[in-house]
Amino acid sequence: MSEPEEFAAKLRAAVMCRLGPPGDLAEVKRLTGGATKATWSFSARVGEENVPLILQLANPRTASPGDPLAELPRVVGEDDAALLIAAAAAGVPVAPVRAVLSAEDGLGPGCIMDFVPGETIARRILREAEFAPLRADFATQCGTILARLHAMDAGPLCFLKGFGAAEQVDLYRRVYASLDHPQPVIELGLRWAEDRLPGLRPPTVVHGDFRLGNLICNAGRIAAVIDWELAVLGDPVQDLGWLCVKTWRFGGRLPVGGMGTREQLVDAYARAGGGAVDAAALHFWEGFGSIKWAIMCLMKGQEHRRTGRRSIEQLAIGRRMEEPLHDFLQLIAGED
Amino acid sequence: MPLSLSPAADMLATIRDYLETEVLPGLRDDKWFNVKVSCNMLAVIERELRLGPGADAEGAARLAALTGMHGTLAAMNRSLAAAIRDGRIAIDDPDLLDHLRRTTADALRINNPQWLGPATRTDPVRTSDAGSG
Repeated sequence: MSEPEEFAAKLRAAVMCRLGPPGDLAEVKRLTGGATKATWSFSARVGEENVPLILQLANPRTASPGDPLAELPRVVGEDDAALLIAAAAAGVPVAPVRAVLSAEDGLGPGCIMDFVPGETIARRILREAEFAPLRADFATQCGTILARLHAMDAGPLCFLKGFGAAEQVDLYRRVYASLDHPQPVIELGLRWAEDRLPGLRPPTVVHGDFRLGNLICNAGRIAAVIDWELAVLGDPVQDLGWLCVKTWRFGGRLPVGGMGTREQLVDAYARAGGGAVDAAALHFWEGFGSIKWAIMCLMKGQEHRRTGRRSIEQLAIGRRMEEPLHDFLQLIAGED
Repeated sequence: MPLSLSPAADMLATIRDYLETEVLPGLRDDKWFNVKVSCNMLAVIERELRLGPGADAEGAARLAALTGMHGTLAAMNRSLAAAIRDGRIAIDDPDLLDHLRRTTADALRINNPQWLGPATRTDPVRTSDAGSG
């Protein structure tokens, strides 16, 4: 059997055993294949029905021992599925999990979930006419969803790592230092962040990458929050700040995903039970978010030297480093 | 460098033009995406050849004034980075901030000039749309 045939046979067996026979597959299509995970869409015959489904698999991260990158918390496999199930229980829109894969499936860690129709591409959501109702309400919906997300019961999610502001600044400083490519603006940003660490508050579940691109949207509402692999226990304001980082506005004018105001976001957050948002903490997470993204760009720009794999897209991302640095300098000058 | 023609910037522009007009329309999905991103990268190199030397010269003069040393650009940047890290220069120092804003803007004029412009950008392909993780 060829590799794709073997893969399809294993997937069919997993569907048959966990969702029901006959499990015949159609339209198996690889959607994304990043270094850390891969996603397929397909439909499967279950009983008399054709069910549209998503398969998500996690790959092991390539970080050598002693590499600070290996310390970045990451949720994979059955933990990822447990997180999705807990999110659904808390009223966060997510793709319903249909099956959690185990070793005998032979596909690696991952899960099968319902396909949620909608759009993730930011420029379409920001520009196409059909999404106008969503744009008007986007910041409010984000505030409500984040309040529910931060109220998730962390009890059963014991795999989540504590990763507060101080730990993040420290880790990103070490990741940056390990790249040995001095950047005065990043040094300034790290000092700025160290001087402004938000006060400790009880840690909550934090999504870690809540932004356009990781939200499946339809014309009027956010239908599912995806990509939970960076989830941690930490400062809930992190998610609100990250959502306002200029990079994630994709050219839109307003701070929240290019579509809404910070006031709409924090008002909806408070109304949904998230509590008052400290403006200084929000400012910290927004500024530090830009510095984090700049360090990630710096990393991508020399990833090929570390891994030996060349990628056009990664080299291009390397050249994006000054975008968040420019945004950061504007933010601290009070120009944003 | 060779004395012969053609100039490097002209070669890059010609290759980019060919890819954009003759190759790209026949491609789909990830091949389209990678060639599109490649064209953007060629444009970056064209701008770097044109604007890089001037930006480097001005940056070096500002760095020399800030660090009090006269070395290569890399050595002066390393020294400035260390001074910020160690607190030998305050992060709200106006000369420092002025230098960093200029340097960052000069880099953006090469890497992505639209980032400096009005908020609406027209570039149809952002690499982050295809996933940044």
